[in-house]
Amino acid sequence: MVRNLASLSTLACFLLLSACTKAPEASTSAAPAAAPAELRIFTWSEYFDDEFLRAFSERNNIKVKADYFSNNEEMLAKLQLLGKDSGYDLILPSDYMVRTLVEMNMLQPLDKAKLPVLAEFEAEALNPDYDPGLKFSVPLAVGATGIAVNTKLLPKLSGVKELRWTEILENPAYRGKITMLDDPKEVLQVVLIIQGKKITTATEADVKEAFAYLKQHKGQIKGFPSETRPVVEADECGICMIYSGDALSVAKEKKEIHFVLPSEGATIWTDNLAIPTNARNVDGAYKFVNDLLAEAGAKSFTQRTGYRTANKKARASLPKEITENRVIYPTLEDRKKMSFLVHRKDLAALIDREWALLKSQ
Amino acid sequence: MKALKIYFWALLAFLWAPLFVVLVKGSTLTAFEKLLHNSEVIQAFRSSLVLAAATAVISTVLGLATAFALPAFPPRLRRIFTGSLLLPLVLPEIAFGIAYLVWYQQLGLAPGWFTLLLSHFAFTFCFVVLVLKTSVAKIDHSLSDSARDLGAGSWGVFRHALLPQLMPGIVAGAMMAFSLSLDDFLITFFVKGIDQLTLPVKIYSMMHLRLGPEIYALSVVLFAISLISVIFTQLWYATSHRSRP
Repeated sequence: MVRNLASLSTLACFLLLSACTKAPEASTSAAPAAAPAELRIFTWSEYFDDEFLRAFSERNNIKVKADYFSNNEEMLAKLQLLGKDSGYDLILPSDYMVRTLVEMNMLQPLDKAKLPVLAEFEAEALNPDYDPGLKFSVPLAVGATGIAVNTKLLPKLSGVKELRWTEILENPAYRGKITMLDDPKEVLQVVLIIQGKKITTATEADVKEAFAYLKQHKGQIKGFPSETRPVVEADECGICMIYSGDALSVAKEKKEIHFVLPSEGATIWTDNLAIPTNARNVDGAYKFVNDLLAEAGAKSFTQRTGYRTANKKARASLPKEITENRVIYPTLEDRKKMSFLVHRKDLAALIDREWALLKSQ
Repeated sequence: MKALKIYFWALLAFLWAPLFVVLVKGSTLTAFEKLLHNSEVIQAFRSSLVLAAATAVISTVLGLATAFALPAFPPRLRRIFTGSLLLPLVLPEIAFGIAYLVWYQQLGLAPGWFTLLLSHFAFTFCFVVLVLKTSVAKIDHSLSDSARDLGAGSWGVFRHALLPQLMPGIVAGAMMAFSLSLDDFLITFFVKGIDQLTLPVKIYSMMHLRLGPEIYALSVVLFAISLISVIFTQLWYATSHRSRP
């Protein structure tokens, strides 16, 4: 996180500088594509398994090349710096980054006729607030932030299906038994939701009030571990805020852990497939999206990573342990209450300061 | 005295405990087995080693030449030059990464092996010169004078009178360049082409999906390499000092 923030501020300065300099005309080394077409993807690592890539290459005579980034801002910076020459045919921005890229005219509008796989998608997935109507992006991985309950430490909670954050943060029975994520935006979102507010419209006063609430109930919180999984596995927290990706692997290892979603609503995020304006192999990109998100591809993706996709057929063919885990597959009710994280530049400094105060208290 | 001892051990524990935890978590057979089947990790590991070795060689050779030339610079120029060597220590890496990429774009160089090696050379070079500068300053010139009196040519003087005195600095500089290059993420990310993949780029990108023990195992591998290089350097010092008359 610290690395991200430091990077962000430096990035901003340099992008301003680089905006004034013009990228050179198309470089000579990236000359015409040879016989087996190339599909260049800018992605997070481990999203595609080798077997899928091999099968895709053979079927379509397309050689897939992947380049990796580790956060959205880095990806944006490199795309901008490379300009017209970036040469990527498919990129994987997260929800809020899709909007940024659209505003900067860096994504192509999608031709739905070339995306038959969307017919297998749940209706609720077709209209996210960051990209209404999926004009520019197709969601691949959908993750949420939920709660893992350790019934060995808190046997009373064994049958519980839902928990309120206010209960978790205020009931003295849970004092010192809670861990929250080491991420100011995620934690702030929880309190804003409790207090009936939204990050999109929050004011400075709202943020201060939210952190005042957290400080008041700091005694409930045991810590903010940067890696949740080891803490949960070591029985070190009774109620642990957890990413859905961790939920599957923990569930496989420990039977005494079960997963609930906060009744007030949870945070959701998506990683999406999108085609940059300067893509060369656009047809290849469409083929890739269709194959990756078809039933078989989507099913194996969820089994491997613990993140769901929007494919209805894949859901129907997945084992019950996965589809009944509410952190991985929230119910429709849960999903209505979920909200995306939004990066508020105007509040960022305040949030960082309050977060540092909270942690040092 | 007792308090000092406790402080010493506490400090040591604080520094090493996190590494130990990762070591224990990463040292499961399944994690390593998974790693071995991840062909990209193996490929990234190989590229990282080749890049780090090449960087170390180039930086050390040119760094040594620069360290020798430095005393001959006019004083003002020398001050400016040595001052600029400190830039990579104080400026954030991302600034360099972005600046290099913008610069290569201006020159019309497509990101690839060449730009990657050039950038790694550029930022490790400064550290190597800083290390070798002190070694060169400490040279005992009476030795080279004696060698010359005894009939050694300039190569002979360098080989037999200077090089042995510089060797500790050279090894330290090369090791530093090697490990800086091996660990670098941000500069690499910006200047590499799609066909290059280094281990840190792979590791950071793998973290996003939080897929587990493989990351720990990878950290163990990186940690082991650094440890081996430190032990190697120490052993080398020990034996080279013993063999001296």
